[in-house]
Amino acid sequence: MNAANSASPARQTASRAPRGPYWLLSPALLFYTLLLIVPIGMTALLSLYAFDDILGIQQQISFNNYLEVLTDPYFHKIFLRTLVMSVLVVLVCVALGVPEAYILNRMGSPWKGIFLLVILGPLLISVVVRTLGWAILFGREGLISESLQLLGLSDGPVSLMYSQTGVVIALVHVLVPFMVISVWASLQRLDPDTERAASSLCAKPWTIMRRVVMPQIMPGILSGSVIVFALAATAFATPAIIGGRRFKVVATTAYDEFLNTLNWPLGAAIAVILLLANVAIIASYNRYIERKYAQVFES
Amino acid sequence: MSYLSLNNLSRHFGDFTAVDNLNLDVSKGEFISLLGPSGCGKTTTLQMIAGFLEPSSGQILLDGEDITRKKASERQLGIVFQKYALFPHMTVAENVAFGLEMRKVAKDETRIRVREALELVQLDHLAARYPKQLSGGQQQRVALARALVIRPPLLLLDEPLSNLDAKLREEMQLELHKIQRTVGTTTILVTHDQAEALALSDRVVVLQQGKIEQIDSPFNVYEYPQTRFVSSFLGKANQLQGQVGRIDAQHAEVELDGQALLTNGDNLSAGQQVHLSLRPEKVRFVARGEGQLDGVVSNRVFLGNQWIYEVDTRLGEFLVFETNHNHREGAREGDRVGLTWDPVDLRVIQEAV
Repeated sequence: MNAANSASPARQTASRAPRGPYWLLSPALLFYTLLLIVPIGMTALLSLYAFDDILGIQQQISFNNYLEVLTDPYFHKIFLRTLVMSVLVVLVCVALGVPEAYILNRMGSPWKGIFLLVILGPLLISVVVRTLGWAILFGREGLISESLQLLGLSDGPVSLMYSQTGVVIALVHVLVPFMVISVWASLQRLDPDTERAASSLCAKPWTIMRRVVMPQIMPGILSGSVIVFALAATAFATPAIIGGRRFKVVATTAYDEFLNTLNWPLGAAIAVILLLANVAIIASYNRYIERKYAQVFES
Repeated sequence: MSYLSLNNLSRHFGDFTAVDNLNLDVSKGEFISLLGPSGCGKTTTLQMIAGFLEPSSGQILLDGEDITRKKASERQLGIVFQKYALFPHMTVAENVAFGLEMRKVAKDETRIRVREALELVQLDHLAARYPKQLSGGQQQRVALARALVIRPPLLLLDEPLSNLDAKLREEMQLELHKIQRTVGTTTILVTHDQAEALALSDRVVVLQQGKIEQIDSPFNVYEYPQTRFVSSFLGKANQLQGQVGRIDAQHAEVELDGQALLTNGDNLSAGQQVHLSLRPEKVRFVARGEGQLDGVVSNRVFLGNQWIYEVDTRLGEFLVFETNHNHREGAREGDRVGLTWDPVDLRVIQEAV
């Protein structure tokens, strides 16, 4: 009796063991299926439906929505604008984030922690709240406008609202921590002796930065750029509040199609094109950097 | 006239004195080792010579010029780092060429000098590889070539072999020795490995707690240690303590626990307390009662080329090394043996007791 009892659980475990891990995956699989694959699939399906001003959504499969987006100069302009804006945000994030991470990495012990918290702090506040804060500063009677006039740098009131500059500034504020974290991670792997070695070989500080430090942290800069680009190109809240209807990007256009024109299939097509374009840009960029920096990536 | 002089060099970190009033003169072409345990100040000294660390006080003269406050990038020294510090994104050839490029050496000359430097370290066939594709020993050679190609007035080696395995380390020691003799660059090596210091240098500087214990040729440092620290840090030593008794023309008698041992009588006076050091390989086994000391073998270890014995005596535990050349097994554990040695091998350490 005892022998039988002790043997049977062992046999059970043995027969169940190979299947066990797959069952453990099920909550995550369910989560991804319900929250990612199903909505994307439904959006893709929706984008193929037709829309009639009077009859609403018609369940007739066609690529007409895609043709409309791909041939209408109005949408070309919006996609191009989103691309330019995202690239600008990436460039500004690199220009600010890389020195920020480098200086941070060189700081001594209480300050390092404090400033890391200061840099990451904005992530703890809602994007909407932060963007509304910028809206207050950007207005015609905002702090920036008033200061520029006080300093005599501008004749009249200046508004950064509904402009590319305004959206880029606000997005950089939101996204620069991702660049800092990414560069910081690659700085951790940098051997400080390589800087000393370069200096012993007569390299000036700027040359050391350009020839020795930058190439070694390039993977961090590039992967930070991917994150920032993807988040900037798909950002909604910041362009919606700062850019408004005057500076429309792809995400806000899709939103308008859904909620203002009520042309859901067209909005879905825009969203799908944005997703595909983003994936295509990021994937080809990734392949490019992996090939170019193979030596630094291997470890 | 010395080529490199460190005059009263000190470095403090807060209350901690890493280097304490160091004085050292190095001649041109000399190979000097700074040897000591970790925290003895050897790396701090090297970093001050390199210009990575500013001395708290004192002066560094190189070829008659005061370089104490000069930046590292202006000292033009060749430095090899412990973890090689190669530039991972550059090929071997680009790594080696970097210093020449910074000096704006013409392209043709650069190519020739890079090839010569790589030939010197026998890596010319790997010029197009990246550092990560090389073994540790090969990376170390690249680092050496990179430091030597600029023809530095001084070559600084910071524990260059400590990351290599034992066998490779011995090979690299021989090679480093040969290369340094070929190019003749004045070299300072920092190491905690006494075998490395003895094998490579013209003179060894033994450091402890930021102070110099002894500067001497490898042979003298090993054979005539001036302090107890030196005698125990370099190799193994049986250390004894006693009082000087009778002195005659050749020998002095030192009394230890009622046992008198003969030693060299120079500079000793009767009644003085002294430390003695006896190298284990100088001790021989003889029949019981025929040597200076009797004992019982308590432990033995066979290393292939030699035996290591621990022998219990009335003066404490004695370490004895015996070369394996007798075509037979040596003494066994529990054997009662006599120990003998030449009285001149029992060194008196000239250090205050």
